[in-house]
Amino acid sequence: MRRYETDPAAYSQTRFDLVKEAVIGGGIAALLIVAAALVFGVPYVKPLTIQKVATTQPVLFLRTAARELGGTSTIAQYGPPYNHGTGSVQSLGPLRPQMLLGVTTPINTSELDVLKPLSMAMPLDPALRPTIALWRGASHAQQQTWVQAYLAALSAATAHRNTVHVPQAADGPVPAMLSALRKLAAGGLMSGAIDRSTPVYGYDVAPSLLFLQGAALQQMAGRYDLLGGEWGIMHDEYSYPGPWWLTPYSALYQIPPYSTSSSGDALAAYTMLLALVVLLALPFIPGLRDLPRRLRVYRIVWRDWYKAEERQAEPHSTDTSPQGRDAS
Amino acid sequence: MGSRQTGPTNWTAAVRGRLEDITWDSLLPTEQPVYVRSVVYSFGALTLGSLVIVIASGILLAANGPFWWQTPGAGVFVRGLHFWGVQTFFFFMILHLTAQFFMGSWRLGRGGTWILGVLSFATSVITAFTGYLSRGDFFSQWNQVQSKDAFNGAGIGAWFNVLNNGQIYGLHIAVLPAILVALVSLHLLLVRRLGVVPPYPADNQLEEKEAER
Repeated sequence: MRRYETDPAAYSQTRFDLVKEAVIGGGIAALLIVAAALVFGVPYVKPLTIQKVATTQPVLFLRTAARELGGTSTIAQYGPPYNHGTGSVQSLGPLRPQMLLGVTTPINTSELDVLKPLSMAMPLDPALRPTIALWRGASHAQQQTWVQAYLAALSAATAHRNTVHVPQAADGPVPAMLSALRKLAAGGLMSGAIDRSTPVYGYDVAPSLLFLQGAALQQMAGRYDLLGGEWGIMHDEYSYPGPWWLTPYSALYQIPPYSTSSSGDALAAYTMLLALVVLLALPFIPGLRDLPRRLRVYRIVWRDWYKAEERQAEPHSTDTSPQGRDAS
Repeated sequence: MGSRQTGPTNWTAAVRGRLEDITWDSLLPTEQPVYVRSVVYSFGALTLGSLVIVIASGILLAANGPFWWQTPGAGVFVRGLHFWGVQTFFFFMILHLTAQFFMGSWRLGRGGTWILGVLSFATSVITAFTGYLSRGDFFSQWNQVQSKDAFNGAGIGAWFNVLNNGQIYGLHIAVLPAILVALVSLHLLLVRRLGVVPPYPADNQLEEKEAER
């Protein structure tokens, strides 16, 4: 039986020009990329702003703001890293990795989204002062009663052009506060007022994104078929390819338990981490590491080599050592 | 040989010994074994070619800033080069990774090369993801609010804050590319140092294990 050489240097060699290879590889890639950029362009859809929601969907804006004020929104009850709620805390069996580092980006939606911007607007609208004082002076139970009454009235609200008519209710200062907030938002000042985590340079857009993160962004994503159930992360806006290399990750969200569990995100994240560990350790996992040998797809890649090998192995062949062959 | 020296300079000597192994001839080989003859071997070069264009276009984007790449004109075209460069980069990288799997390229002491390749792939995925978040359009917003739950749920959202544009942009243009380029460079060095893995034994050849004895 013929010997198998493990050292590449033991095989006969052909001439090779790495510079030529790099120029060809880079040239083909460049050609493809420039052609695609010229022919197909690049996706871009203007981002959604709080100002746009306030002007085009005023009732949605008021409902969102009322829930943030009353502390009943998803973000108000989210949990770490934003606050001490439990509404969106995910778990992996008995483990809750989300709780490990605690609250690192504190967000009190009532203060951040409503009271802080209104306080900033007070010099422009002094009538806000007694309104906010009335809110702050009330008990928590009273505040909740006002907000719930306002939300109930809002479900019968009518919007015409830029005016919203909310039926009368026992909702205290809430209508005046949120009407003032909507004016501020419609003027384009609200995101600037709430995205102020750093004194001067605004890098952190968490407050404004978390304000938009519910129905407003969901509705817009639905228009571009970007929702999770539509493999949203896989394709870009319109028909542009998205990060399709996340196909296995996105596929998890289409099947139970990932699609049904309230901890689906954490489950999917750790499943992908496990998959990465398996891929890294592939050379050392008995069975898996031998898979390519069993699948024999390599016979296609090295078909010329094996043909030459079989020819050399035929009877009457004069030289069967690897060094004796030259395929160049 | 330097790496055999003893004393307090042992590790520096060991590093020097390793570096001495790297020569222009090993980095720019003029010969390859005869079995290196398939279109499969060009996937790696095409991946690298795409990466060079992604980095070059990325430098132009970073130099001119977000308003430039979101305003119709040259900025949008360069963003197009960056966008399609990433698409071809992943296309060729996944072809490369798939082909190397079917060729069992980790064999004969090349486990480290495989690990560096997989780490490069994983780093690329995160780098591209931070790029999608930094684009500044609706897709960025949507991915930011959607992915925050995944990172928060996994327990790393407290540090990896996808809603903090400053952190994500810094990771995208400096930290992650530096890690990726380092990993890819080490991957290439190992490929050159160990040579291209030989084919599996032909049916009429000894098993690898026997040949290695």
